[in-house]
Amino acid sequence: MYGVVSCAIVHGIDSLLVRAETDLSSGLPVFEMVGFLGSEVKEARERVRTAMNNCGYNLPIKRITVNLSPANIKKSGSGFDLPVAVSILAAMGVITKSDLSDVVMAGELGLDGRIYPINGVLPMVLAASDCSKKLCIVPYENYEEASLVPDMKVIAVSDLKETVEYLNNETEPKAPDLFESNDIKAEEADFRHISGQKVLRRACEVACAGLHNMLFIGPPGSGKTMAAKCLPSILPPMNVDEQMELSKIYSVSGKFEERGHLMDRRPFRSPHHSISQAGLIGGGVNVTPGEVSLAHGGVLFLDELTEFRHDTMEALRQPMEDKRVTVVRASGSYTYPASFMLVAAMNPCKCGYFPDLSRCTCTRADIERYLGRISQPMLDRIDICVEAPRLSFSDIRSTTDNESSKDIRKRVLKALSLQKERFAGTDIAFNSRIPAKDIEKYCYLGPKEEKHMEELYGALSLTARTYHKLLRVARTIADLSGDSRIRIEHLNECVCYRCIDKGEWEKCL
Amino acid sequence: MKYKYWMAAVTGIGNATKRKLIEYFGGARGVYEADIIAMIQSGLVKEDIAEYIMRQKELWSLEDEYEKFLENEIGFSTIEDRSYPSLLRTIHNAPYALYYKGTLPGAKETLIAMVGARKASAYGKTMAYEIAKALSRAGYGIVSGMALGIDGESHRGAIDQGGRTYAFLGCGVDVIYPRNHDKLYRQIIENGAVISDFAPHTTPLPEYFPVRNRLISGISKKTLVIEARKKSGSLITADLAMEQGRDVLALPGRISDVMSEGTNQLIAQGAGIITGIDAIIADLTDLGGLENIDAKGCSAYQFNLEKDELLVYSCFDFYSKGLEQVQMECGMELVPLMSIVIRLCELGLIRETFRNRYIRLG
Repeated sequence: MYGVVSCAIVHGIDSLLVRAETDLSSGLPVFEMVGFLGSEVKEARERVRTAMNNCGYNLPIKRITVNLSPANIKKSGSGFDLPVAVSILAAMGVITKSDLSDVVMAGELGLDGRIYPINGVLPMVLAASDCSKKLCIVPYENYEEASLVPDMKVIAVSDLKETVEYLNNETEPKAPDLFESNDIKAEEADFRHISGQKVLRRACEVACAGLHNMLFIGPPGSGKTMAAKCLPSILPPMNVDEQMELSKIYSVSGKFEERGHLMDRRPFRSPHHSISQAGLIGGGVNVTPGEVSLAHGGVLFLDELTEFRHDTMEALRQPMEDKRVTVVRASGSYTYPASFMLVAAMNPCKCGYFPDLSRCTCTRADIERYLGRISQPMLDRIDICVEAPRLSFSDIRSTTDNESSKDIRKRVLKALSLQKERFAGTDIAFNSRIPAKDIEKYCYLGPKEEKHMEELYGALSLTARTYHKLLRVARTIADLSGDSRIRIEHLNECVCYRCIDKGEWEKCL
Repeated sequence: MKYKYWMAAVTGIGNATKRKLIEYFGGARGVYEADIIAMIQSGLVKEDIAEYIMRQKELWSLEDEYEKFLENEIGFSTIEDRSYPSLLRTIHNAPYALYYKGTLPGAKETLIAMVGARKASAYGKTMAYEIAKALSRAGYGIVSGMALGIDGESHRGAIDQGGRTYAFLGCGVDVIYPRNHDKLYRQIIENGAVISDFAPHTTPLPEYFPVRNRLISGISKKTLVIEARKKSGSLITADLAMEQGRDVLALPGRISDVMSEGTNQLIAQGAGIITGIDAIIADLTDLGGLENIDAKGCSAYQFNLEKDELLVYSCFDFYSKGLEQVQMECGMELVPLMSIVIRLCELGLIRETFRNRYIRLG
């Protein structure tokens, strides 16, 4: 007697279909599970046995062998309980529906037969859809995200009995109501509430228009954090592919909450500076995506950059370059997308007030040590660097005529549509992602501009290292003003935002 | 020379006693060869000190130690030598010996000391550099302490002008302190000397620095204090200079500026005031300005600036100002303003001192 059903494991943010097959044969009564199982999957045996008993399905006095195949992939996660139980029931003949091969199911069983939600349902259903399966059975609480996959029949079940009932009699259990997505978005930070800080505001606009990495330097209380929090309000919308990818990441890490639609806002993640490397990059015993992946397509904001552990910060370099992270553990290697815009804020020195010498109490060596916490390779990856100066009283008082996020966003969107046109047919999405080899092509400088750049080089002792970064930012500034060519004023502006070279920085002290 | 080297290395007696002993015995060799009875009879040292000196004589291998010293390629000049700077001879507690790398100032060279805070403002540093440059051009040697901030800028000004500059260190002359001045250290040796009264290999200790400050002012005709906080080493140097009978001049600053509190205080106490570089030089030569040096450096007007550019330029100050503040003062739109700022940077009229903060240079 044999029964088989499909289920899925999550690997990275993708899912792989796995067959759960059961054989009942004569012999000593044992319940055995094989197929390279993680410890939580091994435990499924006890949960399945008890849940079945408590639902009135007594296990036959036979040798029960359950195999999860393919057997060369490590199985982890708690979603195997339901498929294992169903495949046993099919082998027992309790489930009469003969063809279960088109059904993919997942769910954790309680001892009373209840079915509990699991992580990663969205990629599982997507995988089922890719393999042209017809039906997915998911826990009641996971119905929301599973139903986001188009052209797939999803049944939500809340206990084992209900599942058997449905498979035998086609009595569909009542699907949960979809969460009403109301378009009234939660009150979010708006640039309208930021007084003064014109340089900072403009820099934010440029950064968002090309998804450039950005660094704010300024004394405490100058509004660095606040400006960063306003960024989501001017970020461009995500397309469906991006939304799906982001939703998968959140599904895998169990952060896909009731929303009734895909994740359609660009994420804004601001981890505390005590974060570990595994937390930031991804990892852990059961490998889960880190903050860099949760910020995929959006903003990763590192407040108090210098307070982050050095190795944690340096670990960011590779994902910033590759736009994804690969976490390798004994159990396998996992790749997560991590294409984020890094926004960092830091004080200029330990006490926070440099270069205001009347308030700064740091010695020069203190300041050097403080700035030394950020490595040059890290600075190399930052395109825009601005000072957030201390606000004067009149700045704080003036509440009038601050441009709102809505107006800024309009310009950002215009710039982005130009970029979309320019990069049509390539895999470049934003100006900040222009590879070095294509700089000449996309950031063309006329002879006059070329000469101007040369002069700037001499006068401001720019380094070759900054050259490409400058051109990318200049391209974005030109896009913002709707210019097809980079002009002198664009170059001048981007030079104002240039990230200080370490050597140059120290000369300023 | 080996006797002098021994004499310099003797501890337990001060510079004044060393001088008296040398006068009494007719040179370092005389002191070395004197026995304990003669030493006590001279009445210059007490019995226990004389014994202590004898003990040092026994432990000291005259030839070996001097040979070892020569390997370091460090110059050595004692108060008995002609190469010893004459102005330094006159100060109280003049060091018996000076160790140096480079070449000591010649007899006819007039030296000006320039001191100031390590953590100086952009204004202070610019002024130190420009004043040192102009004084060099007028033929004066610049003396300072090779510290960060004002000291370093003063040396640099002199070096860039191709003038002579001398640094007194608070450590042995073969020790580079602060570490990141190693390039400056080599340049000073090429364009003058690093000098110390501490033996080679001495590591810097906080208490050594006030000691060397008396040499900076002592060797110089005038001491210029560029920027100083209320209680600072620069003020110690100024006090020492006054005790030594040297002129002290201070660079005035805004009263709200902490970096100028010390210098303003000096002025209030009666120190000279630096109103311009030509004024210092006129004072030095008693001839009126040798050449009219423009303290303001380059002028904005030589570039034929546009009206907007002049407006922006006039908003900048010798104290660093943020882009934000300038924008409010001139009332221009941010984007064109940035363009002008970069152009002014390019022309060398203003300089970026920190992220988006600028000072004017001319």
